[in-house]
Amino acid sequence: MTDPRGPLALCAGLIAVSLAAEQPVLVAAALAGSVLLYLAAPVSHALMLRLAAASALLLLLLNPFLAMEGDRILVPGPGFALLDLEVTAEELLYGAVSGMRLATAIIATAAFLALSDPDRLQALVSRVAPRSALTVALAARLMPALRSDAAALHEAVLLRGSAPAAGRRARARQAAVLVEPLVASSLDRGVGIAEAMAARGYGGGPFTALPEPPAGRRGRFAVVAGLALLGLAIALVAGLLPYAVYPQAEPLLRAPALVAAAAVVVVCAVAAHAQRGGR
Amino acid sequence: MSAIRIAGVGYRYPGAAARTLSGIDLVVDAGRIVVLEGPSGGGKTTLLRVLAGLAPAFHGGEAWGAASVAGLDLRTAAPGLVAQRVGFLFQEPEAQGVMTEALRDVAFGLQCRGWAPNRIEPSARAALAAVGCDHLVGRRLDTLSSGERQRVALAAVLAPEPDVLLLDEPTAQLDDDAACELVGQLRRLADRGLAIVLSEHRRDRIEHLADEVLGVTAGRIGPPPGPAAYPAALEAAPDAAPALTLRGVDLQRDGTTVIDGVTCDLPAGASIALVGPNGAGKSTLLRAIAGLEAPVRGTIATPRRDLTALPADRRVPEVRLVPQDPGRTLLEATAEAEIRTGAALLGMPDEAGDRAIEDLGLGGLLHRHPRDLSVGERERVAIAAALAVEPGVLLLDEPTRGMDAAHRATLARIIGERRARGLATVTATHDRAFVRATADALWAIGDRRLVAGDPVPHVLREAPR
Repeated sequence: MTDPRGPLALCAGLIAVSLAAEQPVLVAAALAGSVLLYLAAPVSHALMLRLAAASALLLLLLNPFLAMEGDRILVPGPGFALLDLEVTAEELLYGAVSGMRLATAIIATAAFLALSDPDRLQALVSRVAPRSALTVALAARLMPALRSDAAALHEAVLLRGSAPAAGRRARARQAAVLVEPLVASSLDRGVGIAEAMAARGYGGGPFTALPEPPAGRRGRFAVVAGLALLGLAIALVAGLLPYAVYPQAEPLLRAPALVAAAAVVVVCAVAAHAQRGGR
Repeated sequence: MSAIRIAGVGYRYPGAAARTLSGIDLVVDAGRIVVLEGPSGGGKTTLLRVLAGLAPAFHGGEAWGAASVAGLDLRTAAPGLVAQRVGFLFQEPEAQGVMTEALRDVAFGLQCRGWAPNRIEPSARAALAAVGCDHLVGRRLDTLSSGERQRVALAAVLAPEPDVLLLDEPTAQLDDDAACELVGQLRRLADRGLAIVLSEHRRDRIEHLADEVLGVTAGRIGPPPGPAAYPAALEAAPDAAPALTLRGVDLQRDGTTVIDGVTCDLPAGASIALVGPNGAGKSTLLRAIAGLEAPVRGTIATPRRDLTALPADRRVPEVRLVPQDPGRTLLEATAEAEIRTGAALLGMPDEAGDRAIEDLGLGGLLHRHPRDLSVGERERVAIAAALAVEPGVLLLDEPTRGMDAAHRATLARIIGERRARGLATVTATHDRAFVRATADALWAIGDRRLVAGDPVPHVLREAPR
């Protein structure tokens, strides 16, 4: 866990690059950078990576049936008013880019929450936007609290003598039974945190910001790298490295885009390494 | 001068047919300590929440009557404003934490009161030291034992130096030394002019502290209930074959050794009290016996088989744990389903569940949602669910938390009756009266060692009060 300013700059920069870039290779680089950062966080990664992959896949598969563009036809089919059954390479490529953008947003947000010290994040928000501190407190604690509650409920099942089900379907059914108590405990938890904050005096008067230790070398690198990524995003919006998918996709691998993509990945790899070393 | 003055106060939870509080009149002057006693679910916690301005603000429902606390009219003052002058300790210390790290959590209340930055850290450190927790400064709250969390929660409440203190079972998770220190600290605070209202089931810990003891029963203030009528102290169990054996068991938590080389036998029909200071590893040992923690080395076995490699579900019903904080392990929509489902899953008859429901006086709660029950009521539901599977070894982790005197006595009687049928019980607790009534021997943990077999009367005579 670390000073949230570095992860905030890096993750915001990656999302900005992902949204601003038109070059698919650059969007892929932003996604790769997000994954590298997330893997550096000391949490279990599988659930969020699966969620991001499933979301990206959904967009990839849906786009050919929602868009009616592209010259390179892969699967010919009739077009209806709201449904186009023809699949083109460009539609798939655009769906892939959209999916990667969504996955980048999911994973970068997860990386930010996993890498940031929730106490310092809450203090930071309390200083900047006091009314949002409660929301941040709830958001920052949501995943750890859910994990902890889910573990307690799983133990409760075991203590009844109920064995973990064999097979994926049976396990899914068993897990589904736990959803209701998990949601109930999460809602209780949300009210509980809000109540505890009020009981401690939050919202009743001025809030003192504690002096935070200055950012170390790793933290400063993360902030500078994040600002560089934001600068790249601004340049991309201004017209740097243009790319057109429709009507016919331009070549994917052009030197300037490859250089920019490699730079994004290298910066994120160094930042991820620094985050690991910083713990 | 009255720090608390309420008249005709009542409260009803949303959707509830009955009033939880009714016609409450209470005056507490500055410098006075008032203790609330009464049965679980009688309204003590709700009264404290109303006094703190948290109900109905966070719980909905309807409140009426006139209430003034620390000069603030509760009908108009927001909870955050009330908290600037009133310190409130939640019954469950897990609910108190707002930050993730102990020092930051204590500092949070000072930040909310707008203290100067240079005063905050020294004051937070001093508050932690005052409750014996200076060694927990940098620790994450989720790595602390319940007792340690309660100490940190107390530090967080005491640090801002409020005018009024409202404490909901402040000693429930504390070891004897910490409870003694807290009692002394509360007396000193009252002498400096604080008004203190606390609810407590452990009369032995606060009998010299209270200026006034009030009973809260069925939502009304009245005379306090009588002391727990525990059954006669148990005789040491005759030499019986072991129901459970531990040999050379080493346990770790987060890579650090908690207990080293535990070797002991639990005779069938024995009732053991597992004692030790907060954070010593009592819960970890019980969890290891139940199969929720794997020992680094050593063996855990019953006469029938070696349990060491068996998962928790395959140790039931030979071994059944009632974990600390059963509120976190509620799975069903009614108390009755919570009690009966375990036995049904194991294909066991309903009779044991029926008997547990009757013995623990749960007949009136069967159709309630477990989350709507008080902490003590949830504890009884969890114990009934464990008894319903007729375990050979019953492991109870702080079973009297939130439980009133009458129900503690009932639980002591149940343990006595069941052990006559061969049930072996290990109870991790700081409740010395309960230990005296239920245990025939101690397992004491300290300095990563477990000493098994001290007879209870000897140790209790020697222990500091």
